[in-house]
Amino acid sequence: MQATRSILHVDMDAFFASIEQLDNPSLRGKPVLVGHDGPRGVVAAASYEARQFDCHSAQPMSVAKRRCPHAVIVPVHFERYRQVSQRMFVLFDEFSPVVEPLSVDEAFLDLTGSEKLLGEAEAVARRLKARVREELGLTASVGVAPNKFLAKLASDLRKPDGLVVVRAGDVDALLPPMPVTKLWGVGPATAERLRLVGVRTIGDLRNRPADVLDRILGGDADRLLRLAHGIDDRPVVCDREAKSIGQEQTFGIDVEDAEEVRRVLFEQAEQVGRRLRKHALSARSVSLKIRFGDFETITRSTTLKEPTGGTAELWAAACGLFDAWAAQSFRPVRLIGMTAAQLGAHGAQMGLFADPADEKQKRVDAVADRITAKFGTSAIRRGGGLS
Amino acid sequence: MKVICNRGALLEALTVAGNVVAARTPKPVLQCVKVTAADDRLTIAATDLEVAIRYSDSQVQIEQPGEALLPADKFRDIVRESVDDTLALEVTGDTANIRGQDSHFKIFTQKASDFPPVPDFEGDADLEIAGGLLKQLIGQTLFAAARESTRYAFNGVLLSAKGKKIDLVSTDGRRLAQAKGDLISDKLPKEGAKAIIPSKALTLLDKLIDDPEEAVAVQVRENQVIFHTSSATLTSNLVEGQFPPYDDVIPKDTDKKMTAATADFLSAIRRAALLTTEESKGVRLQFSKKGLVLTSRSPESGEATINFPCKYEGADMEIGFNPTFLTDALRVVDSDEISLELTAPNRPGLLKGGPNFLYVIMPVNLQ
Repeated sequence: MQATRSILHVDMDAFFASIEQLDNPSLRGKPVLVGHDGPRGVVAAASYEARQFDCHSAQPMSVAKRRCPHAVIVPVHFERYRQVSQRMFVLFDEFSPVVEPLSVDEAFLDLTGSEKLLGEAEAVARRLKARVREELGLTASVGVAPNKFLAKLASDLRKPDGLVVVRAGDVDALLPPMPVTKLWGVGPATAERLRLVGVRTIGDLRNRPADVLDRILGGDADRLLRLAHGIDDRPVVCDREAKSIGQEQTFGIDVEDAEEVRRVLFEQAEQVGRRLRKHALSARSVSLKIRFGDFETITRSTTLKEPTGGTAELWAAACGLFDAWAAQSFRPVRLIGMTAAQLGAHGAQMGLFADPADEKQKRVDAVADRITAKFGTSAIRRGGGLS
Repeated sequence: MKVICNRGALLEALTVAGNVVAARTPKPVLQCVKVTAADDRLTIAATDLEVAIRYSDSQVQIEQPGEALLPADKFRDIVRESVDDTLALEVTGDTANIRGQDSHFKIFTQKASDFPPVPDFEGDADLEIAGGLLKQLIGQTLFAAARESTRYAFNGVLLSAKGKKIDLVSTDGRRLAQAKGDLISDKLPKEGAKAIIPSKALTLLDKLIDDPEEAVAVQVRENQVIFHTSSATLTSNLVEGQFPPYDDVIPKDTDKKMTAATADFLSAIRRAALLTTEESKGVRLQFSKKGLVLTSRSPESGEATINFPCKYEGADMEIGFNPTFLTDALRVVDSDEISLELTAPNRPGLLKGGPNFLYVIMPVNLQ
């Protein structure tokens, strides 16, 4: 029986839109829609002011404009958001070595066992929010709970700039009235199947007999029932112990320019390389994920001759996969991502014969990592990466 | 061609030759063995264009000389599965008939003239080495050769011979093994000879040597090496390219030294290695006047601590090694005692077992 854990879920508020308002003071207090202003455009993010008008992300831009005709539409600035995200993660690292990035603006932090050093989790959460505000000029909503599920639920309860603590004792009052879709793994299809047997809320789920749930949910029944009681044993997996390390980027619109996709992929290769090197890991395989506007998703993988943590090798593998696909079948891309897998501390084994080219590459990576850690990703650009 | 064969001897020949045949080849003729019946023996030849073998089987009775190309795998399988002591092989036209008491196999042959020439051993040997010694030297080095080469030509073993001495060196960039011995004879020029021999050839050669006393004759040519044992001639192309500057990496200025019984040290490493994983393969060695403490950790399973009393001279030091690299070497050492010389946690260790074997191993970074 494990001791009670202390998990934080940190979720930046209206990330893209907030950054645009930070960078452009004339946008503050106004409804802002981040995305492409065209007939097929999609909202990548909506500021809280725009949300009052029922605008939200992933909505077609045409619908958002109808609901909020006076909203300011701002194009997506990927690089800038990534720069802020990078600094955000550097900040999180100060609070815990166990940080699991979930997306560009969300992470779990495991504070278990650090009470002596940092204090009670709630106080730590407050300090973290204050630091985010001071250093990034943005607000975050934080959930504090004994597990990931409850922490993520909590961070959502009072947005923006919220701080919600959920304790074991709160679960029975909090969960039952909530819709069953709040359980992770229950999407529209499962929710519909459950609705047909009279399960709409988490409370309904708890009360259904086990055999009914087994029939509807199959092997997942156990896990979902445990979640319904607020039990979630998933560990917070930081990069160091991760099975894979990846980055992915969803565009607000279908990107028609292959070069632009490649540019984002290059940034991802740099990020992945940085994260690998930070934990002295190297990867044996690299995969690419591409999603299109119709949600069809393809993946391509390759295994490397030698495990690597170097940006140049990761980029060579990733763009090799991308170019091979693009040459035959390029079509507009909605999401691009790359993952480095089959990780190991291979980086630890030293070599007898120093390869001058290899050594130079390692030195370049090491210097780039130090500059980036201090000044953010746009402080340094690699040459030759885009050829 | 018509010949009666002792099944056991024929099977041996086909199995050995079969190891040379490439698993996948664009040329169908290379999937065959060339069978030649002449001069009271059957010669089985096979090649993958890098390595070639001529194997001699004299446990035969030739009724009509001739030659034919038979599919290597099928032929071997038929001979292996048959139950007779002797089999009759008869080739007429493009069909080979293999007959046992109760069985008759007919397999299609290919044109013998399509088969590439497989050299025989001609002329004098450049050097002669006792079979047993050669097997030992191969056993002490082959394992350390790289699986595939990236920069250097080290997916093979470097053979150097000079002044009636021979040494084999192999490395994969992380550890290096060197084994030495004396030749029976040599007719080498004064500067000796050097050749990088592909791992596949040495693996085959190792299997060919039966009698430790027999003299294995070797010829070293510009691009080829030819080995001759009592039963076969093995020819191999050499690995092209530069062998890394291995002498430079053998530590010469060590100031710390451990000595221990080989078997005991091997046991300690193996026990410590039980709690490492493929992903974090490192064992921590802490040396001090009191001896050695080995520790290992596997994030998912646990950790191990092994106390290993041994003789140690020099300042206290901690260093990490991939345990497999250590056990690989300890298994092939033929002396009861080994010494491990060290300098610093980021410099190579030098393992010695007897006067004729040394092993250099680079450490891992301990976190």
